[in-house]
Amino acid sequence: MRHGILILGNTMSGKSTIWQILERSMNNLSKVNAEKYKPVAILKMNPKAIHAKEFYGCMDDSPEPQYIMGVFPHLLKGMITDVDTHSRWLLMDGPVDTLWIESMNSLLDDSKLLTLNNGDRLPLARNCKLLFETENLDVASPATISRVGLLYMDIAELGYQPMLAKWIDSKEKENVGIKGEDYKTHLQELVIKYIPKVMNTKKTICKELVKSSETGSIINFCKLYDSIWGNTVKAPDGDTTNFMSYIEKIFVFAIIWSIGATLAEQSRRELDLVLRDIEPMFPHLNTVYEYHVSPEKQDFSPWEDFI
Amino acid sequence: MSVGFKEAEPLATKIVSMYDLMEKQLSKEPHYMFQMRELKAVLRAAGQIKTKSPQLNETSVCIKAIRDMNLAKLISDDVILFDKMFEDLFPDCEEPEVNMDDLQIALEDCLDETGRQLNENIVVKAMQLYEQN
Repeated sequence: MRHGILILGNTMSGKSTIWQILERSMNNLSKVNAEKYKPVAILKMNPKAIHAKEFYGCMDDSPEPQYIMGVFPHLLKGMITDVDTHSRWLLMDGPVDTLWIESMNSLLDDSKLLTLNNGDRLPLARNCKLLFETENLDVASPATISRVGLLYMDIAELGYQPMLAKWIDSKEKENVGIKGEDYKTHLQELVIKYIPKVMNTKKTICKELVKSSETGSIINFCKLYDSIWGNTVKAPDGDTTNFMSYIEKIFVFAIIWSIGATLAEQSRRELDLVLRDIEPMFPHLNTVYEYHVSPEKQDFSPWEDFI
Repeated sequence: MSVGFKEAEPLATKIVSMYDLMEKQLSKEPHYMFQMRELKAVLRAAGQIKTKSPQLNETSVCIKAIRDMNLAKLISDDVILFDKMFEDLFPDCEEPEVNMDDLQIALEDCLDETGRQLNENIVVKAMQLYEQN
């Protein structure tokens, strides 16, 4: 229905995923039901990776100026000559900027014509669509927004849960000295015990020095946990109860230095309170930020140890 | 532009009031816009739907056009409001069922094949992307 579609959404909201799976699905379906579904080929470019001049093309600096074709018209021309059996999507994956998007208005219009500054007029091929993928529309003018079909990806719909679920699922196969299943269940319990409360506190009360995305902090958390785990943890000899609480300590330590890492000084106290409230296992002195998990003692220990 | 609509006038009133309501009632997002160009896009979409499936009655065609053009861009909180407005303006009318099962199954398979989790919202959004095409 539209020949310009803009996918809008925060980082990690699944913008790329939806066109990737749609492309693959349509290619699969075209083999079964060729009448209804056409195979799709997607051309990608990052509009901000090149200079604005290189995007549409320009006259060069020689005494007898020659026109240099830009990347975008080149791709557009390539699509016109293609046969009609394929759908073609030209995907612009990158921030929207007035430098290039404003000049595209005539192409997004009913006229579907792009006029270049050497006078060439390029039409948009019938089987071709323009796709944009961007995080915000801060600099896009109403003229552009009203010309494209918008698809909004709400980060709240997806959330961070899928990331955690995937992480926990990967734990079953890990060899840690205890049964993979037990380890997985234990982590699952820890996730339920800590993550929602911590994320909620961070979202509602805490201030951040550097803004971080929710899903981003969760990914950081998983990576940090995994790297501590891979480097320091040795399987227990016999007693697993101690080991389980050791896992919990590493888990909390990873929370502090991933989800809690971006917090401002005052907000760190809030996180300190929340964590102590969930499980009082920290030494009383100082905030939770002042401790690391010592592999020898399998317990919290002040950073001063290292001095 | 009438593309063979017989009840164009009453439907036009409804479409305009729908857009009026959306402009006023929905939250104010920077990417929301319910002006003339959007209106025209809906009319064009309605024309295309009518040509493609002439057996549908004209109200259903309009409903489908409005939903196709707008649902994709709404934030999740506004979807509920949008549905309420729809009920008010087009009582007793349901959106015509479009058979998209094959696409849905293909999308779900595709998520599975590529090692992703099955997420309903992602599938819905991918289908909306298809519908905008």
